[in-house]
Amino acid sequence: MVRWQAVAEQLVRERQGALVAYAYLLTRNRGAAEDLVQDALVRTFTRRAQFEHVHQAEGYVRKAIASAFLDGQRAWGRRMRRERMVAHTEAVPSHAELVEADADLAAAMASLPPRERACVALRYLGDFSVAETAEALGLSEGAVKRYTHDATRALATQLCVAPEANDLIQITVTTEAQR
Amino acid sequence: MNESLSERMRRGEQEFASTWGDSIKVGTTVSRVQRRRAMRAVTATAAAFAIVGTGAVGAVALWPSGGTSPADGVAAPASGSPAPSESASPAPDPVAESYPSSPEMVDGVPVLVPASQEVADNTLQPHSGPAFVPGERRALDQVVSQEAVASCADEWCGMAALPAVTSDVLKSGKLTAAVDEMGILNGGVNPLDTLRYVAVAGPEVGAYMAVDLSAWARDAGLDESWGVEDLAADDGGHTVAAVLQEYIYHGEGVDPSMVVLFDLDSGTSTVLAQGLDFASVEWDGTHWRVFGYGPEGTLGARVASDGQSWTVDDMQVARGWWLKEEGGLAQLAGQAWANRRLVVDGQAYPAQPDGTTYCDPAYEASASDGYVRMSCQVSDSISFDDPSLMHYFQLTAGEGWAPLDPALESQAPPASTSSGALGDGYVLWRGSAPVFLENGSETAIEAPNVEPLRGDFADGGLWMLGYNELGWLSPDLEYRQMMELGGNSVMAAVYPYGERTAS
Repeated sequence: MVRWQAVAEQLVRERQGALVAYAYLLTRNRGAAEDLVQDALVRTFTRRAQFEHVHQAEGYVRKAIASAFLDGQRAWGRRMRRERMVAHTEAVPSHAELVEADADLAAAMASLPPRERACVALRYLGDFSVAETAEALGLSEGAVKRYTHDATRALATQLCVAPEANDLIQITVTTEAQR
Repeated sequence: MNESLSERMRRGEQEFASTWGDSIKVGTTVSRVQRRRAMRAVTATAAAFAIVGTGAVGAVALWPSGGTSPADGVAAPASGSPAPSESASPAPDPVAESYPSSPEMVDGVPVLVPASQEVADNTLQPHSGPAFVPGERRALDQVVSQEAVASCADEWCGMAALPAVTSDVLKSGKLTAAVDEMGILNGGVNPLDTLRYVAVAGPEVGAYMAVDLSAWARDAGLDESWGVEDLAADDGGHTVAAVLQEYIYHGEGVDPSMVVLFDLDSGTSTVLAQGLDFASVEWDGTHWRVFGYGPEGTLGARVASDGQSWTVDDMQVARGWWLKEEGGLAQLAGQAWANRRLVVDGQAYPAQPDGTTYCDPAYEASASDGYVRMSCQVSDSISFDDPSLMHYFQLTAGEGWAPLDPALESQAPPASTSSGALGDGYVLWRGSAPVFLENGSETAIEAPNVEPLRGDFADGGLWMLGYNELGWLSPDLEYRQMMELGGNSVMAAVYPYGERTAS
């Protein structure tokens, strides 16, 4: 077995659940999450990147998932217009979707705009730095900071947890009198 | 609040993960990767056999054994992937490749990549594909009266009964573009129930034929999930060019496309290209126009009818050609959302106007004006409900982007997410009501729940598509239903036989 295959198999065997969960928190749709993971795995390992460890490969896959998620959001509008024109089979929610393992987190994530969702997922679930997140999503670092800041505040409020201080943007208001 | 946000998110992810631990089949994933990598190997290997130049290219077929074989007269393998297996033709893994790969950049701006002869030569590798059983050519009247019932009996309800008016349309050869587009819609958005038939019809010869490609696809090694993405037929309806595409998993992702010529007279097939990220086909009366994008770059080729030779398609814009080509253009542009590439006139352009995040050129096109009008979203967020986000740009061949002429901007639909060019004006939707807007004045249109597809350069009308019908709006704003559609509409290439042969 060639090395990429061994790493791919180990990654899928050991981390598939986490990757699908990660994608689910972006999409809140089980089928779409599995599609994202599958597509990201294929893309990652098709490109002949050499991975020494499965953790390294997982980082690439997570990045690919977030990137593909945003690309999918861009295409979504057009697809929706098309779908309105043709009959199609409605997806039937699975049991897992009806009874979410962590409905609060899923709902909180779903309340975020797509870019905020992608930023916070990469930052907190993928351990990506601001620079790495910016590179992965094709955004400026400033935009990543802003999206993460907004997402952090929203999530912390909804989930009743402490926000990540490092991702809060300090805003200083100087009054006329202070000047 | 003892738990931090990151800890809370990780805990949630873990809860989902423990629920879905067995969601992906290891073997399925790995086999997909293997085939992708093998596909790349085919492209790289085949390039060595191609004769690069402006003339004909030596046809080389590559078989699963990894060997080569002349394309003519060689039967394809009865089963298995048409690409050589990795074990037989091992792909080297010498260099780590960054991910995601960067699109071509100029000064930090992604650019459009022009088609080239080299890419065409490296991408087009015609070889014999599996044989198939052509359908029986039948009289169109029989189709009208019987096909709907007969098709539904074997779960093919796509070809709905053709109303009498459709026969008239067929005779005038006007249905091609609209039905092609309809097929793209179905193939593209309903991958769980994809189109696996191709059909041709022509009233002058009283011919109609439908071909079930399921067996062919099985022999060609396609996965279970695949569909016909695009289709074109030659004048006589003797050959159909089809773009077949596999879908990953639930159908959201896509595997490479393949372009195939199906000879409906002999039941033989010729695989023109494989491994494309995207492809579309057109028939221009003498040649196949094949557009696409793949590992080698942008493909634009004018291919001989037998698929054995080609020249680069410079995509020169002429009156009427925009719309002739618009299907391919629109689709390539659609792909550009992800890849940020767009093929226009063989030139390199920024994929998107500055400051925009998203463009959709499929909205409108006007051959008479010689430009494609695009609506572009100037925003970081995706919202189709906010009219302030929609802006319109003029794309003139060879000149790049420019804001739409103010005079035309005043006519452009300000907020509609669905509109179509008709003459010098536009059809757009105000709420659920279609109206025709020209020179600032509005005219209500009596039409059902349909949306515009594209302008028709042949007669100046506008094709429209609804939930269950295909219609046509005449320049004098009279709407006519042309075809009633079933739940799973079939993709049909209706070749303009009558128009080309009637005296």
